[in-house]
Amino acid sequence: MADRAVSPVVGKVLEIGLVLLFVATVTGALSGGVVPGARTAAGGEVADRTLASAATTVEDGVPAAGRVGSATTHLDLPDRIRGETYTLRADDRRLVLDHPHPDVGASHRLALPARVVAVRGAVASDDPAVVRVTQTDDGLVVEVTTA
Amino acid sequence: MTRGQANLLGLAVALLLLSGAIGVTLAVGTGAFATADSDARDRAAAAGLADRLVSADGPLTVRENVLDGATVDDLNATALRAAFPAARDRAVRVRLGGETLVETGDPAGPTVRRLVLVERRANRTLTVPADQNDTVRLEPTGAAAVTVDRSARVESLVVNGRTVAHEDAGLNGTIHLDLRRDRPTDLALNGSIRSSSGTVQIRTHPWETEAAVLEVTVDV
Repeated sequence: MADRAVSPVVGKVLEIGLVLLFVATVTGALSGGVVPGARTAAGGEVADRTLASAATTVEDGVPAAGRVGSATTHLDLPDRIRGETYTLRADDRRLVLDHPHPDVGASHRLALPARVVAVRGAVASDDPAVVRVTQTDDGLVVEVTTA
Repeated sequence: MTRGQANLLGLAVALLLLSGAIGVTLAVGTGAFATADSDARDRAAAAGLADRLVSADGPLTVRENVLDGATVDDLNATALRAAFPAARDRAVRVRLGGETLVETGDPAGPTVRRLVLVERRANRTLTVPADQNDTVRLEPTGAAAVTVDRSARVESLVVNGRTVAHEDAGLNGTIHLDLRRDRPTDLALNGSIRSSSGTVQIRTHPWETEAAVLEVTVDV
């Protein structure tokens, strides 16, 4: 007869335990794999677009043949991708987006005329960035740098 | 005891359903991410290559957006890669007016289109009877070579009202004329004596341009 008084208490304890277990499992699964995965996927996509748009700006920044050689174009970059700052740098006619996360970032080859002899420079995403094209004796030099 | 815990079973079923709902939501969300995978860099690469192809200082162009027909006809994958570093190590397809010029690999990225003119130089020979005071209208051409025999009795050539060659005894030989390529030319053959048999041969190189769509597809 004493068991009848215990029964509701045990029942509530089991219910509370079950709900806590469920909440813990769901929270663990979301923050352990799903959310970081989604952040990385979104970050990678934003990085791709940032790189594509930066590459287009660099290519368009080179003055047409026969025009005066020097030009400065403002480069629009998002401050952070996946919550972190990153670096955009030029490397041997390629534009590289270096991101702390290994799965975010890419490298893109630039389509530039033969008049361009060198592409160089690097800029941090939280600094104002410009593409500076200067005329040298050998040809045009494209530099990605801070304003 | 068992009867007392009946609502525990109900809770378990409810949590199971909730788990199912969360699972479905996550699957839909992941699917949305997967389909949002755009080809931003493929498009940028194709646009960059297309801009190089039609730029004024490119090897294929006569002027900006005007392709040289003969050069385009000779274009192949090796020439494209040599002239455009941006086409190297990538699957590239270049189509002009619906015909594939170059295809390396099988690119599946977005296609970038540019409206261009394709310019070709034709060789045209015109033979006209050397009637006294005849006027011939030539299509726009940069240069013309007029071959005339003395027996044709053509004494002067007048281009758009300006005398460019004159010989009282009648012109003889080939006369090269520099003409304006942006408008047709009126060429007058003037003589004071009517010739019955002579002919004048005029060789021109008129430009023929046709509009076409240049399509560039690149896989990075």
